[in-house]
Amino acid sequence: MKADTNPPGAGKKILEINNLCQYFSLRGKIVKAVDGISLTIYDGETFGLVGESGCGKSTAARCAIRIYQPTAGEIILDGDVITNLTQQQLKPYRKKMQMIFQDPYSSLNSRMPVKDILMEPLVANKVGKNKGERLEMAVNALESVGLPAYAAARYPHEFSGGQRQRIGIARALIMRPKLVICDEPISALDVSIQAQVVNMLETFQRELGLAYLFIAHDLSMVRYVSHRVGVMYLGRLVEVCASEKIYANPLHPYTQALLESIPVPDPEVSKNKTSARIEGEVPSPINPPAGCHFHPRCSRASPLCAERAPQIKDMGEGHFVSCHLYT
Amino acid sequence: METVLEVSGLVTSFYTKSGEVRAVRGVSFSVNRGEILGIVGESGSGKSVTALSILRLLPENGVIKDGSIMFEGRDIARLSKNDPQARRWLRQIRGGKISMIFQDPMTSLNPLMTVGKQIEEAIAEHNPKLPKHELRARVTEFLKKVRIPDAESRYKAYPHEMSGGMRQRVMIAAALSGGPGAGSGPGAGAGPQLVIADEPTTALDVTIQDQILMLLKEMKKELNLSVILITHDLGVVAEICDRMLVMYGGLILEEGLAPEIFQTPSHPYTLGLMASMPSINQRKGEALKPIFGSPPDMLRPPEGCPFYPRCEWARNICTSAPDYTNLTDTHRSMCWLLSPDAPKEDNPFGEDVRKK
Repeated sequence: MKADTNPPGAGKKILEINNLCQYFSLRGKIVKAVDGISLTIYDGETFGLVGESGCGKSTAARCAIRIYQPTAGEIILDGDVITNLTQQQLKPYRKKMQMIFQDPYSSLNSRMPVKDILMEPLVANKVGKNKGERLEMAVNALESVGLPAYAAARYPHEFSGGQRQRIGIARALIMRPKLVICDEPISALDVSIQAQVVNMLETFQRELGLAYLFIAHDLSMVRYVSHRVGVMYLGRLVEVCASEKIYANPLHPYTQALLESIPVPDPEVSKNKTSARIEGEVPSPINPPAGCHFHPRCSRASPLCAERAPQIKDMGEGHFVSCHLYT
Repeated sequence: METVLEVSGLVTSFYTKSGEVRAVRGVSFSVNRGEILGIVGESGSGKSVTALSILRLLPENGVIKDGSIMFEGRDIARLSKNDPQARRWLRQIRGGKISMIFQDPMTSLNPLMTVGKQIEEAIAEHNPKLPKHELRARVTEFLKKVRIPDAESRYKAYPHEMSGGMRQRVMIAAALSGGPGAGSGPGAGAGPQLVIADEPTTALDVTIQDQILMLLKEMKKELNLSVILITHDLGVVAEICDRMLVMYGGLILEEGLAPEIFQTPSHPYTLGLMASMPSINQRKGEALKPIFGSPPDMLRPPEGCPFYPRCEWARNICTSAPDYTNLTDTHRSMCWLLSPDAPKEDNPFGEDVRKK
């Protein structure tokens, strides 16, 4: 994998979403879970999506692979518009995009042996001639994630969290997808196991040329695995940037605060810290603040911020920010 | 330095259908007045069981098999459940002198009771004679202390009406307000001296975690509290802890002042934990160095050092238990690589560490 960032325009676009909106109605009120976000993921690239809980990052990802029907906007997968396809029409596209879930306990059917879990997507998509061939593919997939062939006959409860997450990865990769949505794939794992899973995802990316949409709230891990990072706040994308640059030069005040909130494993760095970096909490998405959603918590807010939402602005070199400070 | 709590040789096991789970296998440490002691470890390392043992909150099948937990001159580990006097003392301790903050504030608060009532309950338990209006005043005082905006009206809020961060503040308020004389009202004096916080910020977002950690740090300073902070996140430890214990397989592998351990980690497991996390300067493309394998099965923990099956420097000697090597007055580690006869070649801990 290239250590440098995939510059925009380089490589083939695997996923493009334009002005995507996903609204839910809740007791007569409208929750704008995703409110007009646009982003592009290139072949073989990892795009990290970060933000606090409730910012819409998971909804955006689920919307992008059409688990939800988006309220507005456009989704282009590998050159084809899939925004309004029916479930039946979507079937061939499902092979190209797969998902790895956060909780390795609830995302595997506990009443199915591992081989059935792995063969289910093959059956559903009519891949493989017969049962024998599918079983062989399942065993190969298990071995590729470092689990022994005999694991195929076992049930999920016989495995540890890290091993279950590997089974989840094997299930996602067995369809040979081009894009894998990783929704907090390591949050439920122990630190020593997290690195194992992350390294495995990187190896697969190198070997198979996969693109990842990597969702997490752990910014230090996201920055490490991603080529580019997008920061979301209350349904909107506030900053998109190459992952190295996001530490060196975060522009949006929210990104800055988010980065400073990460506990640093070095007492020398943190001993001078006496107060929290950001006051208050994420407001309710049912009734978000007017203008820039972040302005009530922002230390640099001006009257304009409360009136008008900023437009996303290209700062050059693939760095986009949505903040009145830069307009 | 005044010692608040002294645990020595603690052994706690659970009896299950599959056999004896040896969760804690001989743990000794002390907690000083006014310090935050971090206990770091992965799931199954025994860190939470150690905490539950201190307050005797183990489930039915959990037994303290050996060791002592000295608090105010008495041994909590030896208290008999059949002795009414001992039980009364334990009730005074729980929430009165030692209190606990749990990971998930949603499941540890009663959803059918207003948060104010729940804090009031904790105070009333230890102050049966306090009149109602003073109880209420004390609740408000503590809600304000933990920076809950609009404290008077939040008294009547139910847990589901609050965010995760606010609920954790309520938990902290409840933990601090018990005791015969917490707060500034009549009879003020001694509130809880020791707070055990078990992964208090794990369920929270980073910006809220930051706020809660800073609140704990302020409370420690203001009330001269001692805090045991259990976490799996080395970053959290570095942020607010004075001292730390690294636990694995039911044992303390390394103990020391937080800066000491971060500067000279002196156990292969601690080294492995630090290498598994991306550092600030880590670039994409430089692979993380994971610890291979998985944590031990505590039904059959490995003989000797619990970490040797995963340790890249393991030798034959590691199947027998190493003693602690004192590196400084405050820093000790349990590893054969630190012994005087350890090999000089291929040893991550150079002469300087061993001689320190």
